[in-house]
Amino acid sequence: MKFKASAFCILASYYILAASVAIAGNGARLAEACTSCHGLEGRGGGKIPPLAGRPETELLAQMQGYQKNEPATEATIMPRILRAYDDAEIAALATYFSDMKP
Amino acid sequence: MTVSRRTVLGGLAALPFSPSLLRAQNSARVVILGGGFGGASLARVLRRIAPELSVTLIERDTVFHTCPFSNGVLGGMWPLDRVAFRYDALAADGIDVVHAEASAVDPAEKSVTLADGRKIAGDVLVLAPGIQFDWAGIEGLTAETAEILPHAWKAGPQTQLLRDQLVAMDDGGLVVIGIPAPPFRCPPGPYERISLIARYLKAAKPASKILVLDAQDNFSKQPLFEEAWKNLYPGMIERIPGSQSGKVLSVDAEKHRISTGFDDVTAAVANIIPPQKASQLVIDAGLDKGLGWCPVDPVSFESTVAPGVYILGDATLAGDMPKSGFSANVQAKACAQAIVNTLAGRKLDPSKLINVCYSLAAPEYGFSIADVFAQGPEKIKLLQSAGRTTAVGASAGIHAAEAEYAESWYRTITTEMFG
Repeated sequence: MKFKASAFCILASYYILAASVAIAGNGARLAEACTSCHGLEGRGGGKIPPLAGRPETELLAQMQGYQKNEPATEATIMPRILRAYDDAEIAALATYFSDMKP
Repeated sequence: MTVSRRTVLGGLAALPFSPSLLRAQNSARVVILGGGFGGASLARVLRRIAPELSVTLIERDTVFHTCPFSNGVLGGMWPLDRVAFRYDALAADGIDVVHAEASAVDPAEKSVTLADGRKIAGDVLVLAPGIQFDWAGIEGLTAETAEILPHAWKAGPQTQLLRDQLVAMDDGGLVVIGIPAPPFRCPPGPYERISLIARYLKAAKPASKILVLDAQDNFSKQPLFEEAWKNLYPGMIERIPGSQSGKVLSVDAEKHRISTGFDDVTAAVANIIPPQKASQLVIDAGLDKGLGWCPVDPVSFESTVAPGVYILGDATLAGDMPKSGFSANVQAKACAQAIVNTLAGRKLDPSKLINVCYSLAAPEYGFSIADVFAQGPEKIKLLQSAGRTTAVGASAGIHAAEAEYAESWYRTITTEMFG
């Protein structure tokens, strides 16, 4: 019984990890298209803001605002872009960029 | 000891951009033809994600002039030097940069033959050769007469030639701009050019006029350009669309006569942009299937004609994606993943691609089109068809911000490629 329980835990954590990896991996692939403006290192030059290492909750909130076309400040292209991404994709992108070294 | 979920995820998430999984598996040679937005971006991304691969970049020119921002040269906003880049940083990155003219491509042996007779073959061949002009499309227009009536549609000496002609023109002169039928490289480019030339003329030669002879009826970001022209350059620009015989049919370069099906005009300066198709190298190799542009797989950018041969940028038929430097750069990143995964025996899942094109109507007046595309299943598909551009009637603050974003984008993407 004890063995079964730990086997279950190992199996469960495997699936949880596998699911997270799928989303996180997806974030890296999705982020490729963002880097043309935001830079391969998650930061470029000039007015386009850096993304690398910013708090995940902050990035998520900002992207959700754009996605719903309710930006906190006057926006240009981001609402037009993020309406084409679903909630899971936006969450994956927020995780990916917050994990990048600033 | 505990390893946080974040740490594990962070490490895994970073995989596609970290030293590759396949270091031990091979050190295949990737040969890339063409050092523009597609080829140069791909070379650098491959160095980054798969440093064990040997990467050779074949490019004729030692200096690359970007078409993006070259309209600013025509408008007198900055010198040609601003859009000129060398390949030194790519060589320092370990990319084998070969400056030579290519004379043939062999898809079966994945090789490029150079004009000096050398042949360079790879395990993977990537072609990013860009466009050629279809001179047969306009009677009297040739590579030679384009030295009198510059196209300036491949940036560099042609850009400077057109700028010099505009500077030498007397006030009150007629500038004719001829625009071909699509598809052509950079759909909003001719209209940004009209705007920035108008900006120069308004400041330096205000009695001058611009006549636009356009094979198209409708064009990219049309309401935004027309709004800007009305507000910034009233009375200066007249445009004849294709349905009113705007298409340029023939030219007499010596006399500066430009003819449509309806009328002949004599220009002080004429910028005639010829119709376009993919580079002759890929057409000779049969990679265009007789279409003038090369069909590619929407996920990998592998040629649908030749396995193991990838094609990027303006030379492709890339579904709904336009022919732009931004598109070629994004395609290069997806293609790099496809190459690395294929070499490792893995299948690559589709992702989403983006294209953003900024246009300037004046130095502090920008606007944009921003699109997201799904890769497949049949083609690269535009996801949202409405509301893709800056709004008509946007505030001066929005236009100023978009001009600054354009500058920021240009700096970032050119640093990625050449910095």
